[in-house]
Amino acid sequence: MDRQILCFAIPSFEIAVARRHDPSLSTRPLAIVPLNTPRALIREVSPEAKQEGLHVGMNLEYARRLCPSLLVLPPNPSRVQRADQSLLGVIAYYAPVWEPVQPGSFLMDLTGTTRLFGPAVDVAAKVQQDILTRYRLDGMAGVGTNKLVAQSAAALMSPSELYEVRPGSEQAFMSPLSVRALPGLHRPCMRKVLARLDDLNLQTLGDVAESPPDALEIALGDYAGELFRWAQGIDHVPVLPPAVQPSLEETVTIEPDEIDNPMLWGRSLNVLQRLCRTLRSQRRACGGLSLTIRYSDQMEVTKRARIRPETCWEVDLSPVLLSLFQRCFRRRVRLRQMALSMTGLTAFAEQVALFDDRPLEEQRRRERAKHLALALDKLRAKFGERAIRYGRS
Amino acid sequence: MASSFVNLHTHSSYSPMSGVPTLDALCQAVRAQGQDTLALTDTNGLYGAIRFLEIARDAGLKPILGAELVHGRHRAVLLAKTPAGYANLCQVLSARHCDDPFDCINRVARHRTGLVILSDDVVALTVWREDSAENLFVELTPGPSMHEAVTVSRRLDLPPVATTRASFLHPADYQAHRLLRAIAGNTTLSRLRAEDCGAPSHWLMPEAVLARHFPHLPEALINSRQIAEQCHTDWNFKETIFPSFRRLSAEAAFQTLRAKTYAGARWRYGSLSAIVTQRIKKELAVILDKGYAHYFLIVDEIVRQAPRTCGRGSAAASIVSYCLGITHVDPIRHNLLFERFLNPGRHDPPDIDIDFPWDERPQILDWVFAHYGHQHAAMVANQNTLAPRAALREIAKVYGLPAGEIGKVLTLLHRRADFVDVTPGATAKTWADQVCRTLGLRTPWPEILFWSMQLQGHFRNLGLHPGGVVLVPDEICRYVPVEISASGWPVIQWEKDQTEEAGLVKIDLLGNRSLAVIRDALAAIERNTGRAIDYATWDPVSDPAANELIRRGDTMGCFYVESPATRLLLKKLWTGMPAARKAQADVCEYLVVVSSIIRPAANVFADEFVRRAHGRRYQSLHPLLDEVLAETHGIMVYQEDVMKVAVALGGFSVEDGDQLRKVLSKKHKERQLRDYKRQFYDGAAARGLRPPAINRIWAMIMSFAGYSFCKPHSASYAQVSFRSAYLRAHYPAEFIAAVVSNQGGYYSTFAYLSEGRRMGLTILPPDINASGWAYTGSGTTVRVGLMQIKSLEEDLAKRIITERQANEPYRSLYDFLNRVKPETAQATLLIKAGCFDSIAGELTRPALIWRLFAAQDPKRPGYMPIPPEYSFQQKLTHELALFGFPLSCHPLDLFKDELERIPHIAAKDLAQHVGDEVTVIGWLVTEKIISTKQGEPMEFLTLEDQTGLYDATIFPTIYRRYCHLLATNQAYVVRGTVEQQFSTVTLTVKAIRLLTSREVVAECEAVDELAG
Repeated sequence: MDRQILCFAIPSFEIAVARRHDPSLSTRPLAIVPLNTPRALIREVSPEAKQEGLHVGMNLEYARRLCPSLLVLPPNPSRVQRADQSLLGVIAYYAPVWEPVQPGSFLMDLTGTTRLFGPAVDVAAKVQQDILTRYRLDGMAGVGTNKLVAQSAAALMSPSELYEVRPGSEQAFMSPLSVRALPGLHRPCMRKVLARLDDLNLQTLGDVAESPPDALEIALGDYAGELFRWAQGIDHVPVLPPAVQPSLEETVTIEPDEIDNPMLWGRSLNVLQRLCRTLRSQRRACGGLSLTIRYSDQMEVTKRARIRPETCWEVDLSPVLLSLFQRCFRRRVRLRQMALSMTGLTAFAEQVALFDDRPLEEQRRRERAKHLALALDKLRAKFGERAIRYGRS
Repeated sequence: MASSFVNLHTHSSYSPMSGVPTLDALCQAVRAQGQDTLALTDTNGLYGAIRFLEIARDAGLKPILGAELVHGRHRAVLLAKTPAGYANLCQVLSARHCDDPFDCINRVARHRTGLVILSDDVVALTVWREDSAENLFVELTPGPSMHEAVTVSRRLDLPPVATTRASFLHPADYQAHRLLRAIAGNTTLSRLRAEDCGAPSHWLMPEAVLARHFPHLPEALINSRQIAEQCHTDWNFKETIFPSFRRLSAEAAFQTLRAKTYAGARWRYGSLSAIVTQRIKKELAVILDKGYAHYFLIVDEIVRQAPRTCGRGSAAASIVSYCLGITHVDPIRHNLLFERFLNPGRHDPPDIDIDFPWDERPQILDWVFAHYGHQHAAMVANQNTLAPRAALREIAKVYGLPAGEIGKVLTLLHRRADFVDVTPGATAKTWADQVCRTLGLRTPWPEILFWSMQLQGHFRNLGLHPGGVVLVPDEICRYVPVEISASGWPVIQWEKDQTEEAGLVKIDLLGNRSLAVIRDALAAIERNTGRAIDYATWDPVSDPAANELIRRGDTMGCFYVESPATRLLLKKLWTGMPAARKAQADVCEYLVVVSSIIRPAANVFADEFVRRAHGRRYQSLHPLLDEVLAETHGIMVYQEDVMKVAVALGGFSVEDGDQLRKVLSKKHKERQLRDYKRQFYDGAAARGLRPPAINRIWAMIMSFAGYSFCKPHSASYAQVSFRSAYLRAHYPAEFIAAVVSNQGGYYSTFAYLSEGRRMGLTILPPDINASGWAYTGSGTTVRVGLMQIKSLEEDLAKRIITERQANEPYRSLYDFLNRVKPETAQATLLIKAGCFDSIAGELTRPALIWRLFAAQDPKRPGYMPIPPEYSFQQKLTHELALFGFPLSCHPLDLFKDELERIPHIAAKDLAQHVGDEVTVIGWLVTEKIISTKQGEPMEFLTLEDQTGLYDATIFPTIYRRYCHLLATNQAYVVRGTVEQQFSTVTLTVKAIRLLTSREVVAECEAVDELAG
């Protein structure tokens, strides 16, 4: 049976939320930029601002020169989170399985729901309509037999519009699209693949699809197979709800960008704590840690480490993280973003050693650290994230 | 009363990237603390020793020379107690830099004579103590390790001495010290390790503060005074140290020189006229008197190692140099003044500078070191300092800013900072804040700007002087510490001024690109046409085509006379000259004048010279000047004119006149100049000149400040200019190919190739079977060389060419890959550059790349597709990325659609619109920013369109508005008034804007992306 995947996305979600709260903002060029920090970069722009030449990542000073009537709003993460959560009321109603892509953007697996809600394309229209009516937020939707096609279809649309790719027509749909339209090919780590495609003058996904896979493999290496499947509109990855996602990830944007090692190390430890807390709440443990940093000049570096045995305790993970941090952060350039992800997640089953050969002092230290982590979890659960913090952050 | 404490361990900004205070500031601060003696102990060197002696004495301090020797975990302060101790100090420091491995403890033990040693290094002290306790002290400095040092002093029974180890003057300067250390270590402030920088307590503590740290050891302070009193402070480096030629006696050396000179004279002149003989005798007499024979013989010996050289500077005024073949310009024919080079009253050593083709110079230097030995010869250093731009860049890096942002801000500051209105008398901090606020630069730029003001000018590292070599009869490392440069040659720790002041004689062996251009062009001509031109007997000066080319100012690519200012002046001079005068005028003589009169602050005189050359009558400032300035129409042109005028009008002696000339070219000259000015005014008044006339003449003398040229130098260079002009006139393809291949000219490669196209040449793209490493020219075509492909390794290119020449041309890509076996990335560059187009058959460039990947992979696929050829835009992107400029079209062709919408005239038609306001399109080729007398910046631009080059001027008011838009290699729409002066046309800009098109913006972004 063909799968039925719906991608629903509200573009510039934070701006859309801000406009819902203050309708007077609806026609002006808007940008979301952290205020009161020097060297701030734009995080989101409204379509009006985009028309003036503004784009995400642009320096605010320069943006103001290009568009003197620009209205700047500071980010409001809690409001965005609330709005995102509220959308789930509609999303979860229609979709037995859904996966958040980013705030205001979801992938829904509607396979097998036809008898309940009708065809997927109708559900897409209903979701659009419901969200518009209930929250005054306008989104675009794409329907297809897999995540890639649904996402690509949605990306081609404007708010209120809907595109359905019928089963069997995936390749025809993907063929004229530029290779740059593929989600994931924009990441700095994929620059090499893009450069190779440029070298071979393979401009569209159709060009890729028509090329023999073995010839592609010669030029693109490991990426060739995946790219060839994508070019034909094939994507087997299932829609995964957050709780069974095989990895946990948190990204922190550093505003303003920073070069101070102790401060950055403090921030990464905070992220580790939050992720460990999530792990513990999900009763899971992680088997791999991966740190990605992005420098101010957009260069990204990723380092990974395996964790054996799997663990969910900061005391075990922080030395690994320190080593990753030191291996990643070697250049003399400020950091703009850090993303820490935990992979190889398994159910938590800590096996206590019968004869622990570690020194007694070390065992006691680990026990104390675990108790402290649990105590902090409780405090934060009761009084909020910011109730208690380490001085280093 | 003098203080009882003497600072025996201090660091100035000559401690590389560690010491904060300048020598001036350090000496003034020490003097202000009431001390009368100071030891300068920079880290591992005597980089500023000669300067220190002068500054300390001016500040009323007795100077002690020393250094802090640091190596691994060992450290000691070594103070020169006697001149012999100084020689030992130099030897230890030389060993520190040259020996590998360096045995710090034993080396110091071996050269202890005449040295006082202060240290807190227990291991070293124990060893040295076993030898002798004499002149050995334990150094106590306030800080955490002092207590341990006190214990060592007691245990080893060695006297303690107190020091401050001052690396900065005030505690607040600690941040500056840390920044310097972070720059030196390529790190950030938060990653800087404590052991890599000094302690916060290492500031110049006054005695009272220091004494508070030594309540239990008052003798530590008293010992510092006692050591200082034992040290030699009356240093004298006046004696000149000449090299020795084959260990000949002075008499034998002179006789050899004499014989060589006369033999050379017969070669140069045939029979010897009385004038020649008289001049030779006169010069030899001075050389004998001064004892310079060895020096001449050595230079002669070096010059004989290369077939093509050019003597530069004042040495070209000497007939002895001419006869020996050191220079190639006849001083008698060109009326060159020997006194400018040598005169009996001149005390400083002679200075002979020789140019060699730039790529032959390393072999010449290798020969010098092999022949004279590393012990006797060393290069003069360039003391690289943190220039303002470098200071900003380096500090910004410490603050972690990305390179792209730094580059942009630096350009912005370079163009705009002078325009920012700052509160008068503002502090550096306020200035930095105001500049950043006005230019919209956010944190941390104000801080970076502030610190760059504090740190600029700091000594950073030793580089090599472009060609200065010092030769001494005995060991050079007894006179000055020697290091090993990156290229493996020994280099002394002093730059040319300190070298000269220390009495060391330097010979300049410099690299010259144009000599290589001429060499390569001559070789190409012989290869292409079979015509061999003999460099020694070749006389291009009498060639009509070369003369005509110079008259037209078509000298782009011609050595020494290719700058826009010179070309414009040549046009002004010759275009408007009455025919009768033109027929008589000697182009070479005028070329010598024109190349000398182009200097800052002499524009007014250049125009006046042109008027007079055209026959305008003029009133001489004084009859005495008529005689001395006759050949330059009453205008002072050459350096020696300063000397002549000072002698004739100011009543100076020849020596004083020469000194005045020398002082004018120095940086810090105000004090000396004041005395000369008074002397000149008095002398001129005594000769009946009135103050306004004296003012005018003095102003003319002052126009020689900064850089200026002596006539022998320009006359010598004019010979090379003429050779270039001859080649350009007769063999344009070979000439342009050689100019571009040797690089380093005034213009970019793109500009030279454009000029080549205007000269009627066709520029062919690189080809795997036709291109050499360098550009090649023949007939009317120039083939781009493989050197133009960015990132292509020279080794690979040479391998490609050797294989092709040894066997046969490459037949296909596979044939090439089989025979050369290049790396994939390198072969990709060649394919994208179009090198395989001629042998690709039906394959497109992308298809070639695909096959390249296939060839490297053991799994051969069954079917290889042929993707479509790159579009024109894609090819342009590749050209921009690989060559740095579009090769298949003029960059302005990229704006065809836009240009159709903008009414404009062509550059070649400018002369038809004199007085009109016109719009022209231009690709910015070169720009030169200058300051007006009021200190306001303005700019001269050279632009080109598809039809020609033109010059434009942007005056301050307009410049202020548009300067942020200007950058070379960009297209502009220029609106301005066409002005004519002396039959030459320039454009005075009224408005300028960037010409942009969507495609080009996309291209540039694509190139940035590739580069990034």
